[in-house]
Amino acid sequence: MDEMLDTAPCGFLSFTDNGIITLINQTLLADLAYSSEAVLNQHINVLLPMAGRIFFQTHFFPLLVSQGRALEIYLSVKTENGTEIPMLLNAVRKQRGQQYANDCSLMVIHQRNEFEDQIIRLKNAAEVAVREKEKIYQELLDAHQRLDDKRAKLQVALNLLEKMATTDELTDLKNRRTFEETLSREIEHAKRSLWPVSLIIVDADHFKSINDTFGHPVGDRYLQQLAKILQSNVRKNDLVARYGGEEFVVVLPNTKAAGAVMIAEKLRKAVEVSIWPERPLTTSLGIATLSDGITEKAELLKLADQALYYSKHHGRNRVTHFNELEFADL
Amino acid sequence: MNANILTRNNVKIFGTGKQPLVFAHGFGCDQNMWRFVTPAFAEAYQIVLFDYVGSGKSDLAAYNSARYSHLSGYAQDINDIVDSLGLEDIIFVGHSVSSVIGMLASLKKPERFQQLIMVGPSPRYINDPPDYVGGFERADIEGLFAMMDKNYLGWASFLAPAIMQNPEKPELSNELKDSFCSTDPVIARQFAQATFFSDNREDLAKVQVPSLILQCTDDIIAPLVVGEYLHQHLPQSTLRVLKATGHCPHLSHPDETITVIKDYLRDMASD
Repeated sequence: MDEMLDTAPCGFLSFTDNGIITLINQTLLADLAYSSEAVLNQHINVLLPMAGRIFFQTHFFPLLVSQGRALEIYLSVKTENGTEIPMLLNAVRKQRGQQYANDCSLMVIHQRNEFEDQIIRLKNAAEVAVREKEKIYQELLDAHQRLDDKRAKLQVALNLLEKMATTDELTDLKNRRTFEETLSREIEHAKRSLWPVSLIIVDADHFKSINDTFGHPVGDRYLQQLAKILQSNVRKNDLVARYGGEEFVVVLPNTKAAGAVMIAEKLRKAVEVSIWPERPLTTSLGIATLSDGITEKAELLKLADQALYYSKHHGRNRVTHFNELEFADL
Repeated sequence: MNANILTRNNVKIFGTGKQPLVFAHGFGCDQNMWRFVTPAFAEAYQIVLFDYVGSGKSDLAAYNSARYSHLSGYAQDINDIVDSLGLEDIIFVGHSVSSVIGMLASLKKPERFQQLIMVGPSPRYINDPPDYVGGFERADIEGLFAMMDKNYLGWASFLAPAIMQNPEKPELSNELKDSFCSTDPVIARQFAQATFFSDNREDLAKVQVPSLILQCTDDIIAPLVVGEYLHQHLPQSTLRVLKATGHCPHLSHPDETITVIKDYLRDMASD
């Protein structure tokens, strides 16, 4: 070996296909703290820890023989006292005479190895983190799903609750509370817009005697049928509600007295001609319309009630608007 | 013939003979490793070469972690090829772990195999004291995995999964092609695990096909005691200890390897 190669700033060794080391330079001997006698003509295994021997036989040597070279191979190499040092190895395979020689240059890569160890540690940590993240994400998705399910159930319950709070259970009409709110709102709106609003009170005639004669279940069926007739004979924006007992109310937004009378008359007739289970039913109706003199809810209700009272005392099965009352009674 | 299997396993067929001689590569390489040996048999046999799925130029898309986490998955590759080509009277030559893989394939279809030639085989690599010496401790194998991580760019699969298939950087993939035969570090790691954690001692007695055990001198992967263990437990086995040292006699000493195989086949044929 010439002096330049012997002391070159990288290790050099050559081995036969039998793995016997035939050449090794001073640099590599110094790196490994070996004397040349301890290594020359020995099997390359003396320099390799067990894992390195497996790698050498299963990867490095097959690659070197089949490609004629092997580049940038990481190997752990044993020093004489058994410590392992990381080395980077390049190898070429050359025919010299009858034999093949496998020439290797080796460099100690302590620093680079530290970096790589760190990269591998970080990579492993990142893999763990990614798996953890995926797990947490899945848990989050599951929690979202559960939340959505709960929310849907809650919405169903809320809808039911809202219906229960605003609806009359027997007739499925709006209840008194909703009526009060709607009427207040419509009156406020009417005042701002100067649009009219009318109110009809509908009362079933002789209803007490239906209950007394045929029993409450029949009375309830009458109330349900009456509710359906009222609901199906008003306009889309009119509100029909059960006020209490056999008394119903209809709020007619944007409707003057004459219009309200027409609708009330229509309702009265519809009830009269309807086919009832036990005996016919009629209704008495009273109407009031918001005007310059009548601006409060309570007043409107009171006047409509007075009109209803008039209908009741003038033969029933009739419609009275409070306007008519002024001529009749005053 | 199933063209999909032949493409999947990069099957190559040549030779002017009739009887199929199937060569199977070991862990860490591909069919290339047989090129010094196969020409000597091409006249008398039909040579069949292939790469296991995950190795060499096989179809990586066909890789399935569950199947290839055990040697039986690799054995299925062999039997898939045997079925696709309709091979019979097979002389199977397996290197290293492929000896055992071929043996497992023969347990599934004993009628198709005529001879098993095992180059550096081991039924179990890890010692199992007090009665069995495989040559390795578990820590040695873990050390191998650490070394593979550094050589297979183990980090690449995670930090830069596209690095191997990066069309904008052909020079990179070309360079990597020249490095290890299987460049997918995850697959290489799984093959290593399937290999070095395997234990097929129980299967040896079931083998119905005659076998030749080629044992190298000073083989670190398959020490002489392992060769002797196999010879004792494999029915109809012949043990030949080669002068060749190391674990890859077909690469380092192809002439001796060829001669021993030919002599064995001649002896078996004249029996």
